[in-house]
Amino acid sequence: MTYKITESFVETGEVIEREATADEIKMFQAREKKFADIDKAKLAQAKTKAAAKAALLDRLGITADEAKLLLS
Amino acid sequence: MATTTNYGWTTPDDTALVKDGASAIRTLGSSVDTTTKNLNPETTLGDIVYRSSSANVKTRLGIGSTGNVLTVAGGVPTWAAPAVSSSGLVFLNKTDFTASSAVNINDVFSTTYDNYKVMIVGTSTTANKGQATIKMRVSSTDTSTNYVSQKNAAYDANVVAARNEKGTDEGYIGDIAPLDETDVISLDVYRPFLTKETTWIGHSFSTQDTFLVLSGFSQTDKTSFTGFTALFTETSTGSIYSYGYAKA
Repeated sequence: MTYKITESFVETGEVIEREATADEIKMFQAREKKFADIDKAKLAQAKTKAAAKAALLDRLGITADEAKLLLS
Repeated sequence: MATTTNYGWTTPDDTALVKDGASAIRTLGSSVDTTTKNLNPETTLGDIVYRSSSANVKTRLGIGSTGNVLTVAGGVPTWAAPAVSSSGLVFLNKTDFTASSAVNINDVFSTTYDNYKVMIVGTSTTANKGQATIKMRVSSTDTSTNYVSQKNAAYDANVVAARNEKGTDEGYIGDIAPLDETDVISLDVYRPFLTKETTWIGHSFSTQDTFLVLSGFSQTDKTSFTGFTALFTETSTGSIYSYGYAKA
């Protein structure tokens, strides 16, 4: 994957498009990994929460809609 | 001696002698040359002229600097920088970008305005929805610490809220739609150039997720920031518009 950076200098009106430097590429890739890890963790957390909710509903013997009604 | 009606050039009388013809033509030619030059004093590309206080003599006005406008000072035309509007929202810059991972907007914040409006109109160039974040800049260098972000995404009756979802080295502002869709993130930026905390407040509608996204972050360094970088998790194409809120 190529990483392009657009640089705009408002005072002069100059706009430059350039390829990212090696350090910038490292930064982009580290960021992609960090964001992917965050999304993965969020998904895992959501799955755990959904499983816990289903287990609780099961123990109570009510449906999700009935639980909503109860809390409304 | 006879003269012409408009410019008063001297011409031979009907009774003048033929032997004096050469001298008369030379005098007339010289007069025509002087008048023509007085009416066309331009010397350089872009010069314009205006009437001087003397009849049949124009004054040369050299081309102004880039961005200058023609105005009047002391009763004559002159080039000058455009006046800054004393009220309302003042357009500062539009930067177009194509398939970029980051867009740097340099030297947009200054003492002229305290608060700004920024609009990011963009489309991810991949099949995936992208996410946009901001880093503040000083002298063309990003600041990568001390961001506190809040994201509230509302869908139907649900609100998903998250603090520092993307960490504290950049501020989350919204999503960028994939391919055929375009997302618009509208942002207000408070006090970036003042030595106080800078706050960004954004709102947008994620066309892919049909989420209303309210976002905001604070950069707590109390630094005079001169610009910002918009970062995209997916390469994106679009435009960034910057405006200043006039102080009075």
